[in-house]
Amino acid sequence: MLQNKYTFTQSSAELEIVGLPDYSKSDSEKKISIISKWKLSIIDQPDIEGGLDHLKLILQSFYKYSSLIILGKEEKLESKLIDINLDEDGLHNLLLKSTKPQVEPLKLKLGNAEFTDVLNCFDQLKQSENISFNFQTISSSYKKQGFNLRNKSKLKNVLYPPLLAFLSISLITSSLLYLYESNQKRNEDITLKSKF
Amino acid sequence: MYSLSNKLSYQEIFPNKVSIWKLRCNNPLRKTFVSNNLKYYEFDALLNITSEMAKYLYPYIRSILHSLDNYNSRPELWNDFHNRLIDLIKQRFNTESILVKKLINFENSKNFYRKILLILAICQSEDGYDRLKIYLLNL
Repeated sequence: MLQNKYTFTQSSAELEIVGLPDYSKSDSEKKISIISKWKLSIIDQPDIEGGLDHLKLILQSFYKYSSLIILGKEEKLESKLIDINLDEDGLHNLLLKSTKPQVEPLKLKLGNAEFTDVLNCFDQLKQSENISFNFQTISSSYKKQGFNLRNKSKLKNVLYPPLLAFLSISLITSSLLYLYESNQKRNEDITLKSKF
Repeated sequence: MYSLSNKLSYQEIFPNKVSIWKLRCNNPLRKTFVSNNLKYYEFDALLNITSEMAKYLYPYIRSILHSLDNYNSRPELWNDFHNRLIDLIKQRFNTESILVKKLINFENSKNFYRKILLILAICQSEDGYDRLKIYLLNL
């Protein structure tokens, strides 16, 4: 049986998907529902290839990392298969861990341009009508930036203004009370003096 | 932007160039800031136009990012972009604002502009439009 092959290209990156249609789901001959292998080629970088599980994990990590970039939290992202982090030069370091024993992890350094190329290849794959793939499990996880008690800086930002306001009000009122009392005492003294 | 909005069939929301300009004036950093309530469909249309524009401009955005990645050997494109953007900000934004002053500081704003370009490059697809939308709704 002949396998179908589709490539998604964006400038310096190329993603190749090879697989078969699932006739039990009445797929057309050109469609891919069963991905047998995939290969990601980036200029000046070694090729990355693997099975469906690897593709799912890599897609998930890339989407998660891209959402972190957008949210302004370019933190280190670690998963079973791939680690991504941003270095001091603004480049993205990828550490691909092989599932095969005794295989050293592969280190890649992607520039911003290459990173966006790879992400756009994944987007093309996701939007492709010829490839039927369950992307429901692979969606960018966006955490709503709500109030978080564990975030100390946020907690400080929330607590400081009312505390400062309360302190300033109490200071002003106490000083005003002191003035009022001293003024009242002086008035009393004046009335007493005037009686004598 | 106007021709792109017409292509995306936003004639009702943006009947002319002035209507787009009015919406852009909602930016509090602009000299011509006018506080209007941005309606959801206008916000959505602007996002769609941004995403579509990023798609058209992707080759340029990519080249500028590539220049930044190889700044030691090819800094010209990044420097041109950086200087031009600072000039535009000086022309159109309120330079009395501390935030704008930070933006036009050549040395300190590099990482911020890298992030803007990276976000634009990431948002040039349908999925990218969703990413941008969720990010802005979370602000």
